[in-house]
Amino acid sequence: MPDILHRIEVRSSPNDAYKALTTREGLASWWTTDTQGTFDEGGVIQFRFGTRGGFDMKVLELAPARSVLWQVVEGPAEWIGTKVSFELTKNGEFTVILFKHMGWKEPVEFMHHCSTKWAIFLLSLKSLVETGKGAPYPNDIHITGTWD
Amino acid sequence: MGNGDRFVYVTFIRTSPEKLWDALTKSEFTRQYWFGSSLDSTWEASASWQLKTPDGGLTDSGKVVEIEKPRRLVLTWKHERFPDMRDDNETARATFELEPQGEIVKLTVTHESDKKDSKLIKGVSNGWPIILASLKSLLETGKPIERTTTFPKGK
Repeated sequence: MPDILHRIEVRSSPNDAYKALTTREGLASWWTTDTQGTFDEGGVIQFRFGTRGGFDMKVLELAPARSVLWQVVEGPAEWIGTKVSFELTKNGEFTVILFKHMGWKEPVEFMHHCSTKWAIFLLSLKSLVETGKGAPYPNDIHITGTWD
Repeated sequence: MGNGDRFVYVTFIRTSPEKLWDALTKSEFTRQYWFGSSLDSTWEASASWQLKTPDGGLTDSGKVVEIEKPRRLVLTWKHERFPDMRDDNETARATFELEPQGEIVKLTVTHESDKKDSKLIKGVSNGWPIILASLKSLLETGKPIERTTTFPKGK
């Protein structure tokens, strides 16, 4: 069961990074502008990317300023059942974010693609908390010539 | 089958059954007229098949139920990507029939489910007409319809 792993530091407090991961305004400003749902623990958030499709994430665990854990309950077959986590640690003026997308059944080509897209969106998250402006869908960097 | 939803499309294409068969089953062709998608299978009875977007994501999959090259192909069909096209069963089928009629081939595509109000059949009913029109253009003129060469953008 391979995982996607990323590490990124952002110049902000853990609490500000946590807000960007747990509120509609925050998530819509770095991942996709089409973000709706219930953001509390036990809720389901719908992230949509136009004709590319989308994901429904169940919010499994929230630890303020420390961690976020989601599970994919609807979306592409490769994603269903996988879990996504963000762990936050203060490091001076920075917050270290350890990102995981866990439980892929196989390291398929789509996983390579999604890994690159996650890195792009984590840079968007960094930009959001540091400058107030991210690059969520539909303004994300495109990495496939004939799609996305 | 019988009481569920069904989509049928008939078209006549100036080509040979062999060329049409290749265009329906090989990625070098499907990428041109099927929104950039690739189609993978060994094309033997009981083999699996997978349709993927250019990012490698699975959009549809199934098994080869019947194969009689270059006349008839029956596939089970399960949608894998979009929540609004996913049905809770794997019983949908697509049948491709190729009938040579002189200088043309009559192509009949039947996509059916045993469900009423099937989200899958509703979804493919939107997709097949432009995909098959582009397939006809590709085979007759060497050029597909431009908007089927890439995946639809935007909302």
